[in-house]
Amino acid sequence: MIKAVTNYFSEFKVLKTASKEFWLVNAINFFDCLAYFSMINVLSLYLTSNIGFNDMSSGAWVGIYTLYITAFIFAVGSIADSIGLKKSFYIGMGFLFVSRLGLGVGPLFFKGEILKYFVMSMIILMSFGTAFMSPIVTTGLRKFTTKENRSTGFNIYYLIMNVAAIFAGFAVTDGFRNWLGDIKGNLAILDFGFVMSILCMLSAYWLNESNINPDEKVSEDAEKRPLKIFKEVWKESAFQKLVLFLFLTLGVRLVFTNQFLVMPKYYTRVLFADFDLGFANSINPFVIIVGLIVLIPVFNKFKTFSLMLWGMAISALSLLFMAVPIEWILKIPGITNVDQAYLFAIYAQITVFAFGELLFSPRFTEYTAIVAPKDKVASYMSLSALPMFIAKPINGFLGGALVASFSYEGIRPKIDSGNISYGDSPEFMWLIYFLAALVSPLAIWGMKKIINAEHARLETEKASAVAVATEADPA
Amino acid sequence: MKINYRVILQDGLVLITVSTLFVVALSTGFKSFKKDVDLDAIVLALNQDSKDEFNAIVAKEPGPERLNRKDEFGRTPLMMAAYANYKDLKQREEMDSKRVSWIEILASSGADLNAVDKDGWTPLMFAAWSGMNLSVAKLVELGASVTPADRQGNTALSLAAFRGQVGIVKLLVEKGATKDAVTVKGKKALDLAQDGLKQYPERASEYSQVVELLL
Repeated sequence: MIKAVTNYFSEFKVLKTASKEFWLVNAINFFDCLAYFSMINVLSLYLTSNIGFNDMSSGAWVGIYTLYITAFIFAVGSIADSIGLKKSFYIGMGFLFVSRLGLGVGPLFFKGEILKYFVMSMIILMSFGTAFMSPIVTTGLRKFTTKENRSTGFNIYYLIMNVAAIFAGFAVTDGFRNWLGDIKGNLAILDFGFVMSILCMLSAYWLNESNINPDEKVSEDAEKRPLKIFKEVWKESAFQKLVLFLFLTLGVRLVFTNQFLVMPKYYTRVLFADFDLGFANSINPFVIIVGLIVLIPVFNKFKTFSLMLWGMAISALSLLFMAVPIEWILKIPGITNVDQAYLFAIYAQITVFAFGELLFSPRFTEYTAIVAPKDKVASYMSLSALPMFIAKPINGFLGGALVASFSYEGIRPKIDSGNISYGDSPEFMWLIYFLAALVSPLAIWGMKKIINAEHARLETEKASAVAVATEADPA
Repeated sequence: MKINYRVILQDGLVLITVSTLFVVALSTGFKSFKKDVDLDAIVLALNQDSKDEFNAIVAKEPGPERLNRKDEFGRTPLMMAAYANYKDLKQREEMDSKRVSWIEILASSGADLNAVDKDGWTPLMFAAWSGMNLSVAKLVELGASVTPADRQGNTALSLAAFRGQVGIVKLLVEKGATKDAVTVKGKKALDLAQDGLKQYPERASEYSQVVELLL
């Protein structure tokens, strides 16, 4: 294990030669991820408690936000290559600057329906800004690294994203909510995002755009527009099999979106309003960082398809911790009350799920890369975001409806007093998610001969390990 | 590199249109869940501790009917004012001191002190479970009944006993709440306090006081 950690960090020595611009782009990534992850931790709570959206509308609007991010990313794509990095950063940050400030101070100036429409427009504006940032940061990294240090540069990028997600959880989210209370804390977290956007702008200001690496060149394939790519590849058998595969992963992808759609309300309603939800949401990126360093080299010894299946199965099965009747968990030695039972269920699910995600996500990217014809890898990769594009809004509405029915505000007293049967309980909500998630590994296992035909041929050409970001990753 | 804004705009419009149509289709489909009722504006006002907002709502729709409007679980704004779920004692006490003034305002404006939700809970039961001493005292002072039981047989006293709320148990006993009410599982307030003691041994001193009060 010590060797794995030493190997991982020794690779970073190559970055000694990296330019000031490379580190500025990483600083922008860190500030923006801090703002993004702390905001997404509380967005659904903010929409309900601060703005007055019902559970379904708040879920739907978090879903819409993430859907529009994906759509805008497809649309703006490699715009940074065309208009320049600094200009792109200023545009993206400009949108985020206005929208985060608007969300943070809007409730002080507007009330009622006007406030709701104002918040909706700010969310759309924020999705545009977020969509700008993700491809610009990766373009920046590409431009300010050399062939020798690019791969390590991207490892740093994923590491920083996950570290920011950890800090955003236990430091920013919990810090503000514990300090100012849940209502004012939510506003402060959004205002914190606004301050982060100023820091990002300052970092962008110091970028010297002419300091790009001369060997940096974008492949023509990567420059193509997504709709054009889709028109080109949709008739190909390999792509149709990939689409079938992507469609079958939808069930488990719903679970991947729960972290910010359903969990915050679930935590604060079955436990306490002052529950440290940021800490809970920090566990996932922490497990991923440890896994990336220690376990990825071990996983590389196994077949991609099997690891993906196991990853999906483990992710789905993790939900069982929260789906079983809470009385069952109360029978575990050492657990004496409902608070402990819920805490056990929650932390066990988060940890096991993160392990499943660690198996699934890098292999999913790898699988897409190896089933794609050699000249169309980038095209297939860009379309592999399709399941999340569909899963996020579906779970926005579904999660909202389920939370409104099974995890509504004020449910905990009713659980304590025996007024909630299993069919009305939060556990039943997780049973629904568990069954939906279980469909994915079972269906893919059942159809493996169809899906795996191309893959078996190409397994020998296995791609190198791919880094993984936490699933709340905006893209 | 030459920039093609037309293509970007075209792609953007197509993708946003597709996304929006997708959202509209989902929204229509999920309407059948019938959970699409927004949070009561009065509850939002008390969440934000905005008395101005509350006054504006009441000025627009005066009368007790508006104040006693129930949500899908049968809860009135007064019940939500009497409910809080904080683990941290300081946060709970801060919330209690804010909510007690809301309870007074709502009650003086015509809120029903003994309204019941679909499970038979009254505002006093919410306050007793929440451990909000000042709110319980205010509700009792304003005339809330201490005797109602929910469909499981829980009373405000038995809820406070199970939660180890010494001050509330003491007050309710003084105000005549019966110690002998029995839940459908055959438990009295004393039994529930003893259950609480087993479940939360770290709060033994509070539960022991509650047990003593109920003996």
